Amino acid sequence: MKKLILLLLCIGIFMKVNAQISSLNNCKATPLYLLKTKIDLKNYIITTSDRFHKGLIFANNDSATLNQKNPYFFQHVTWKKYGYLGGFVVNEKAEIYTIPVPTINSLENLKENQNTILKADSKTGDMQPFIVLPSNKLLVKGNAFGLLGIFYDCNSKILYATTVYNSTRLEEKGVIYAIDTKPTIPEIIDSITNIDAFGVSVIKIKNSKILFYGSARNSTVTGVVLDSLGKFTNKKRVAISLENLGPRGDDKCRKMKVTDSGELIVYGVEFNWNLTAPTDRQESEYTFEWDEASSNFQLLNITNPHAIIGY
Amino acid sequence: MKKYFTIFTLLITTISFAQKNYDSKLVAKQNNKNDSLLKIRDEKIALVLKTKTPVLLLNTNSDTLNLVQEIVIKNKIFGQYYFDEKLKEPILSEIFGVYPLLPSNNKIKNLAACQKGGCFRVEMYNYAYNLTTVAYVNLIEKKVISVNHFPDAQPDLPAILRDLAIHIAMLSAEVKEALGVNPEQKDFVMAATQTALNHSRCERSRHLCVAPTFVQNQRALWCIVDLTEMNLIGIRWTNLGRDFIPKEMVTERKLQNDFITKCFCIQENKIEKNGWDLKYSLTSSDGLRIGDVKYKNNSILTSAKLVDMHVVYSKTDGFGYSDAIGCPEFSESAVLAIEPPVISDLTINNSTVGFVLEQKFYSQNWPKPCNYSYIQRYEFYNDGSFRVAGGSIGRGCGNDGMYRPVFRIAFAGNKNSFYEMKENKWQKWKKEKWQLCDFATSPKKPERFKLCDTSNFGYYMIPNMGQFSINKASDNAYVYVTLNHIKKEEGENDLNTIGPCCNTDYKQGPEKFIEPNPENISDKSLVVWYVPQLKNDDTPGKENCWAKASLVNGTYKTTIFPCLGGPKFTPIKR
Repeated sequence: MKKLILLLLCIGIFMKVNAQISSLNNCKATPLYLLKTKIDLKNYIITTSDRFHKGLIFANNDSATLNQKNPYFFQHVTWKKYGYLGGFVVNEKAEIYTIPVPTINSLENLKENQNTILKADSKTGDMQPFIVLPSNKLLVKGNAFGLLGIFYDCNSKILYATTVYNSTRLEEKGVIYAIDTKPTIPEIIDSITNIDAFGVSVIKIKNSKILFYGSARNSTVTGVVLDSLGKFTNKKRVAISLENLGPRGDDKCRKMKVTDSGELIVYGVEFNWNLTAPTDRQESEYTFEWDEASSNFQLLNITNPHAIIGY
Repeated sequence: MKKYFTIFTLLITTISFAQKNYDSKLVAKQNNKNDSLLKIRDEKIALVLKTKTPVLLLNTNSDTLNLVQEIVIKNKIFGQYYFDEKLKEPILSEIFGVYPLLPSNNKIKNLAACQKGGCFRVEMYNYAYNLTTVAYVNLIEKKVISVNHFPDAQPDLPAILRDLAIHIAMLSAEVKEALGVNPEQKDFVMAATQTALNHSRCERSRHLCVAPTFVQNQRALWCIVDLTEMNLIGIRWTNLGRDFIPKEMVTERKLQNDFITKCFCIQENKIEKNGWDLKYSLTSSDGLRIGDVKYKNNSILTSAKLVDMHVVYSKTDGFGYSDAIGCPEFSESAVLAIEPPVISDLTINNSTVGFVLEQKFYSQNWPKPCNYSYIQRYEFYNDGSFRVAGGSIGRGCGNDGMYRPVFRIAFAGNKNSFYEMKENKWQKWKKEKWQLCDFATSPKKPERFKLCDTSNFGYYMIPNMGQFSINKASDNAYVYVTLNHIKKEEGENDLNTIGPCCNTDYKQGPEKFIEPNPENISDKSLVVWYVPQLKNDDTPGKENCWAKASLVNGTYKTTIFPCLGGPKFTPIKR
């Protein structure tokens, strides 16, 4: 009986934590075309950062496969035709949305194509442009980037995307878009302008939906409260700063993830608006928990999972 | 050409700072070898590296703390990184702190091993690996309870290193100059200046760095001191906040990016020397560009630059990179300028025959495998000759690499023609074309090409057929000549990457401006593209396009073996 009470207590605590902070992108479905491949449907990964494969691939989630020269992997022929890719999301229909991001050079990531969100069909895997976001026709020299972050809200079916396409050293001209994916032709329903944002995520805290974005210019993560339609409200504040934390002290938030236990992991990387891509990944994971009393995130720990000791 | 490389390494370089009114300034490496404090430290290091436990201990009079140190340094896990396993050589570590266990260390305190007290926390820094090791020691039982290693982390500095950091900053002429201190006044003014030791980082070099900070009026002078190298890296003025606290941390990367961007990316600089007159600046993706080059008031070049750097590995089919080089921020470069360009004398047989403008580029973790460093070198001779050169300083992803830098050299004048020496006659290239300079042996007359106007004013082009290389290797270069369009963008402005990494034929990028319909290039404004093919080598004694790290005094130092390709141009005597 004692055990049962303890179990119920644990479940209660777990639910309480989850009720405080939860992610809204847990609706990923597995594409049916994978059935025709040798991908282990119970243990696979999707990646756009494999060292030997440009574009997006599915691979079995084991060390014998990842970053190896000749692993077994599945890649639709269209998944490498848009150059190097960055973030991706998979929705409840197993459609994959992804964004082009230049890596090392812009040979296959021409600037004019860097503001186009791509979508892979759930049945065939065929990848096509999903939406071309508005941009200046004049190309900005010195900034090779366009889209930097993407997030799919499973409840509202709204895709949030960040772009710095029009920004320069001196002008912050980035935009965060909210794009409704439900209509046949996707519709931009809202945007925040003049903000250079990198990673983006929508998190439910209590009953509010908050869009968090990492700045591409400094080490802050800012939260913007969303309304019931998924549009941006004026309620906005800096929630997290990575300034002076970690081995570099000025990491930018590339991605965020809410764990099952309700902790927020901020993936911080070095980003100085260039195309450098060191083999030893310069990334730290900053884990935060939501403190109900102060309505703030509290730093729990910092890990450097990619650090390599020695030469 | 061997001479060039001797000169290359022996030259006393003089950093030419582009502007005096700076916020940030990188400083040239100081020679502090004769300083008595640093000498004492060097001697201590030399002694400790000869022992089985190459660890500088915390200097303390406490028998207790000394006993803790004695116990912990013998622990195998604590000493896991005392030696480089491959080189079998000692690595320098130093105990930074030994602290009685604090109540806040609950997890450890609650351990059975520490219930009766007598536990200590020991923090050690490993200079070569930029690694902090933390151990808990029970002194009563004389046992090490736990050990953890933290990569890319530094503990709080001991007093001896704090003092040394301030001492190194005060040794610097740049710091004295910035603070307006005369040598006679030095001690008085320094003592009266409010000094603090702020945290800093050396994110790129992964060294131990701190920032002695001198406050003057409403401003603070940050001096970034590298305690791994025992040198000042640079200085930066910042405005103080309302509470007299500097607003943001100044670090190695911020200092480098800020200085290089402001002084060499945004700003164009000028050299007037030995009859030469030219401008230079760093580009977003085309390396160090020189422009408006004149010799004795005659216009020679519109511009010259390094557009792409291709590297391909023969053992792995289609594997390689196409790198752009240039500015560290807001650039399309993968390998970055983090040091200023250097202007130095060009000396052959102990006599100065001209000057050199040189720029190096680095990727983040060079010289670790799969990271790159490149070099650009412009040589200007007193007789009006010049050379556009560049290459690799390793280390890359393997010893089977072939580097192909893509140079673009745009000549001044719009009535130029290009000729090739064939059967002892100059034969004109009438249309845009390319050619492989795979000359088997050095011809007696090295002038294989010439570019001149209708009055025969111009230059001979001498490809590197081994005469300029330390290893006598020929460039085997692809030479292309294209029309310099005024209205069509073919590279006069910054070019994005124009060619893929791994083509092994002439398709390195410039052919795009030739094919499919080559244009007439007689009596026109012309661009010469030059793509040498530089093979790397890691064979001991024959290293080329290579770099290797070795341990010197317990920390890693890099030995470089640059390879340089590029043609020399000599004036046509009329």
